[in-house]
Amino acid sequence: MILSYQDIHSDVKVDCDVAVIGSGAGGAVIAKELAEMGYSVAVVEEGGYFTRKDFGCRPVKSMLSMYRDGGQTFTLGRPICILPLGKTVGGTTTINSGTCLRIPPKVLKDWQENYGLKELNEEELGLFYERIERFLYVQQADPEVVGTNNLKFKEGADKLGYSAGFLPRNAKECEGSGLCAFGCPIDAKQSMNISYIPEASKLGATIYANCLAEKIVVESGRATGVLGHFVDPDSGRKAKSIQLGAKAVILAAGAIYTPYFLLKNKLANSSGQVGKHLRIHPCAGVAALFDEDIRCWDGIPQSTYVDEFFEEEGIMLEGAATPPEIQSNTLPYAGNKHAKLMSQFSKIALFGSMVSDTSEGSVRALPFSHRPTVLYNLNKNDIRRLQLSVVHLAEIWFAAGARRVYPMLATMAELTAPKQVEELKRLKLNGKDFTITAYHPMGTCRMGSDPTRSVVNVNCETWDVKRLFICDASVFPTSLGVNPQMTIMAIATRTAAHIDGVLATTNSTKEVVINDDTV
Amino acid sequence: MLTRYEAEILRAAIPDVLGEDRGLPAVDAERIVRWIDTQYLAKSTFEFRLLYRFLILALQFVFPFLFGSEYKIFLQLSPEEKQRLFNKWAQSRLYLLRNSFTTFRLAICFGYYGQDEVSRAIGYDAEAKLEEASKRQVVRD
Repeated sequence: MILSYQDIHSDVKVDCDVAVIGSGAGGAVIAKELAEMGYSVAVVEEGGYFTRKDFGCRPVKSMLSMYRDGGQTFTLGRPICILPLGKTVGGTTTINSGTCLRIPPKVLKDWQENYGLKELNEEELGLFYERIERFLYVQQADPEVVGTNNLKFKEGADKLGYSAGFLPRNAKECEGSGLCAFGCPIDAKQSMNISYIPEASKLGATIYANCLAEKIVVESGRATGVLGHFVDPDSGRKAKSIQLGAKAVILAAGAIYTPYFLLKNKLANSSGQVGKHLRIHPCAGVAALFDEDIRCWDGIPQSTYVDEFFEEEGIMLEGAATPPEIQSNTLPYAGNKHAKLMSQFSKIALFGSMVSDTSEGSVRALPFSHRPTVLYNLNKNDIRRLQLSVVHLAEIWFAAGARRVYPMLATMAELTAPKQVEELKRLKLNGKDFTITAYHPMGTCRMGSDPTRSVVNVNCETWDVKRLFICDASVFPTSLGVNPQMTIMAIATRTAAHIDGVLATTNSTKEVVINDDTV
Repeated sequence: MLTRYEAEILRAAIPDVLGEDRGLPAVDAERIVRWIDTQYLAKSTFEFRLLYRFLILALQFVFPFLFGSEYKIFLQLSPEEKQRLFNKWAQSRLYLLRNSFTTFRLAICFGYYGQDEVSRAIGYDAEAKLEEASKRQVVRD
């Protein structure tokens, strides 16, 4: 059952086997897996519950309702990076691009060898990935619906002999509506809100939306419950309370809000590592003007990739295009020059790059703020690779036949000829010259075998608090280099199996006991 | 969310931030101000509203001096002077200033390019997309 703010008329007091905070890639998967094993599961989700009827094909409206703070989340530092986060049932998966990539082998090897995570093995993870891919209909993007924007870029990459392809995505019968980032209007994209969450609900889990978890109850060093309040989505005011008693608690609020929650509650941080080692996969974007229509908003926004530079440089080039109202502010110039560019928007193409960062930021819970403070500075290595990624994007666009290229750099607004790419290569850039966005925060409650250098063990259980598990991208010890949702889900599936082993040795309740009249 | 004075400054700024092109519908600044006030800022965080209102007032009292050759308040500038100000602000060598222009323009772009007739002029028809999408729902097995 999925209950929202308007369904709750009195305080909620529930005993269950597992309480889950967050309904994104980690929380939704673990809720479904444990419900399927017969455990009683309750999920609290701060965001609202939206269906395709609410999505509306109007991006700004979706942003204001499903993105945390209306999309106005960012990191502070050199430079400031826009960091959109989902706040809705399904978490960021409801508003992501749907790209499904497994952990790169060299990253897994790094985790095994340098972070003591030898029990995370490729074979076992492979089984979990397969299970998830089957459940989410993961398949390669259909070239018929990827759209001209992605095809054009691939054409340019193919001309230069770069390794490129069509991305695997969690989408069934996709028609290329182009609105993945604002809620799929036909339910083709198998985000958590239409896959794992409804399945968990069918299997007996209760999902409480518009419900803010505020405290984890810890008794004798063990997590035993969650306390919180329902929140009016219009006014933001707290309403009825919720009290969950549980045998295990899963914190899956994402790599920004999970550490923030722990820091505010002064939990699980004897290592001092909570909130540290933030990685974000900084992204740059390059636009290009063609003579012919591109209509970048049609087709799957993120459906082709170039991984030519991934092994050596940790650079992935992936599609990134949004409707004109969102994209308008990323284009250069102001006034009449900007308007002229916008009037030609149907002939503008866009593609993005993502760097597997070595820069590390942090999440802080400052006493005078009711939001996390996210700090992040780009180091020289990442700046150099971002510059390289912009160079590659520009050369591929010219190879594809672009008339002009817009690298979105402060020191170079426009390239009018391929030979200018050399100038772009030679520019001396610092972080502040880029317009950076990021979509994959991770690493802030990292996994490890050393309790002094990590927050959770290989089974995602915190070292300090028994039966408190963390199941989101905050457990990644390093940058992943690729879109993280599949790896979050795989680790969540693995963790569910472990929790089953732990709880199976104790008595479990098979039904949710509701003490008050809730509906 | 905006005072009358702030709304007046914003209304005066919008046409020159957006510019004109015969391929796009005329800018209705009053409509955009109303949207920003009631739809965008009303749903934004307290901190963002504060920042946005600060930028409006900085535009009125500080930026004409910063980006111009003589001191005038923004509402006294001619359209050409306003366009010059916005171009200089958008291309400022100072990172925070440049970034603040992007923040200031964001709501204006949303308010203008989000209008159905404007996005249709560009080629993006949200109504038609919605109509098409409503006929179809993918169902899981």
